Amino acid sequence: MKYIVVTGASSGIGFETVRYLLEKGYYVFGSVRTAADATKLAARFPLNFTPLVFDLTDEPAMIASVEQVTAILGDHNLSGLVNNAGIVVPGPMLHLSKEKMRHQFEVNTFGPLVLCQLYFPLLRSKDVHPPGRIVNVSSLAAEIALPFMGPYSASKRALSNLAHALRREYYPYGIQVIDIQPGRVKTGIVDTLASNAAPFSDTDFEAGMTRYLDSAQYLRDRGLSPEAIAATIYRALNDARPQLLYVKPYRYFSRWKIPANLPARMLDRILAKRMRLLPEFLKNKNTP
Amino acid sequence: MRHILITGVSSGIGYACVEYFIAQGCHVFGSVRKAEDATRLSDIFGVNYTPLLFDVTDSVAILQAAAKVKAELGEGQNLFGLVVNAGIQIPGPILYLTREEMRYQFDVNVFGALEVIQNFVPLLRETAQNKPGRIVHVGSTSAAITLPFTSFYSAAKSAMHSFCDTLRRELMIYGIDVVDIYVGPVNNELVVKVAPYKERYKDTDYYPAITMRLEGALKKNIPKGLLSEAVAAAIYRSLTTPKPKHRFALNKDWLNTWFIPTMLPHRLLDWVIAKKWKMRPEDFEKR
Repeated sequence: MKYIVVTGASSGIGFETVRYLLEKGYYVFGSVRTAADATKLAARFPLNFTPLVFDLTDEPAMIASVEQVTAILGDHNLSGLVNNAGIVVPGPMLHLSKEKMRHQFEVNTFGPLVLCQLYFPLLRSKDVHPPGRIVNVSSLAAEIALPFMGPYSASKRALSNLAHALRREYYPYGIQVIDIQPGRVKTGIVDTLASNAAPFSDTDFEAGMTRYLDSAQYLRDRGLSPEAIAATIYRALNDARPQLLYVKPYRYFSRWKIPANLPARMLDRILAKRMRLLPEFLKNKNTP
Repeated sequence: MRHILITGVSSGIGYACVEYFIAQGCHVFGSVRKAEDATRLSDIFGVNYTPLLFDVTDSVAILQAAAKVKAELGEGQNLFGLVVNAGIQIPGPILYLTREEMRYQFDVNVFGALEVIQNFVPLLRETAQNKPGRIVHVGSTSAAITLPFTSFYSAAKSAMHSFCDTLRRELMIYGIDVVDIYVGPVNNELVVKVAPYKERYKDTDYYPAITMRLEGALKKNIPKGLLSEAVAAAIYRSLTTPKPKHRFALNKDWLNTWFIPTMLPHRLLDWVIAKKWKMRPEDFEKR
């Protein structure tokens, strides 16, 4: 039996990953934020599944989860830690408060990092069991920063960057660190956008934000299936020689190869035109 | 008269910028954290330098500084440039650093920098006489080359890399350009300042590797590094040239500190690093 911890298991990629790994015969610990979600998941997956209840900003709860996992592991070690949980804080950079931006990083960057520290002793090799692996679910936004997605893109880029540092520092312990960068995935993450974006309606970025929300709405039912990412996570955990980075774009050329290889200034103009960010879209030309 | 604002001017690159920009005939607003640094710099540079007293983590002080700069610029004047330079480095192995330290690294290098940008963008905007100003972020090659024991700094700099991309796109609406300079090793006292940190990890497996990395930096990289004046000149070029590059790496030892580490496959670089600093599994088993 192999044991895996997956964060953010209540829905989306996390939920599908739990299902996929259970099918493949793993024992899975899935983290959720509320006790209600924990009961729901425990009912859905009666066998080989233990829910963990913690928020990535709540360190005592994270430490408690380590103890809970240790108790069940017995003389096994942990075969994998999948850092999947994440949120999106949208908005124009000029008008986002420091608290909101910090919260984005607390959940998407600092939280996963702390889990990599806390679960390190469990991931180390034990008797016959080889060391476990860390799989971070980052995003293609780490490579291509889109307007009004500033904090999200930066938090994911920081996470992808930390994967390099972790890989090099955990190298002597044999713990592999693997980064996954999915493009657009069909999950409920867009449903929270509109309510978060409301406060920016009287800024110079109003037209742009409207455009942004429209495109998010358009993409609501488009994108990769969460199962596809679950399968990639499985490969990252299982391949004898895993890649250090798995990129899974929604559209190989139009949403990855082309934007990633265009000259930056040209991509700037295309995005600015689309997101109503060219100077001619500025309504109030007077400086405040 | 060109007015340029620089954060973190008490020493290093910031100080060199003040010196260089004043020599080019600009007026400089420079932020420092201590009142004695403000008087020291005022004594050296005279009327062409206006000290601003704020810590980038202090929102209220930044707000007050913005009001002060606005009043001093007067009607119809804007800032020609904003140089986001202030930063710290919290070194150490990830396993033994805390969430508070990570938070502090980001509070200064990321959230502090962004709050400075948010507060000074209104003063960079176009006026009747002047074109919109420009923002230059003093980034680091660490954003692209992640080495052990400087992980938090690298993460903060790559977060800023991403933020520079977003800001460049979002601020097009005001015609404000954003340049991110990847600065390589600089020949200044920064590493000497942080060197004592290694004693904290005396009892960990990483201690020999940390010692080797620091010795290498002090003996090789730093003496061979860029001079702060050269960085100041590059920043000034980015502020004044009609079509600046949005991002470029600035290195003295280009081959060893940029080309080779960015061109090697990651797995190979992992192995090279592990061998060089004795961080292979067999090295750790011996301890």
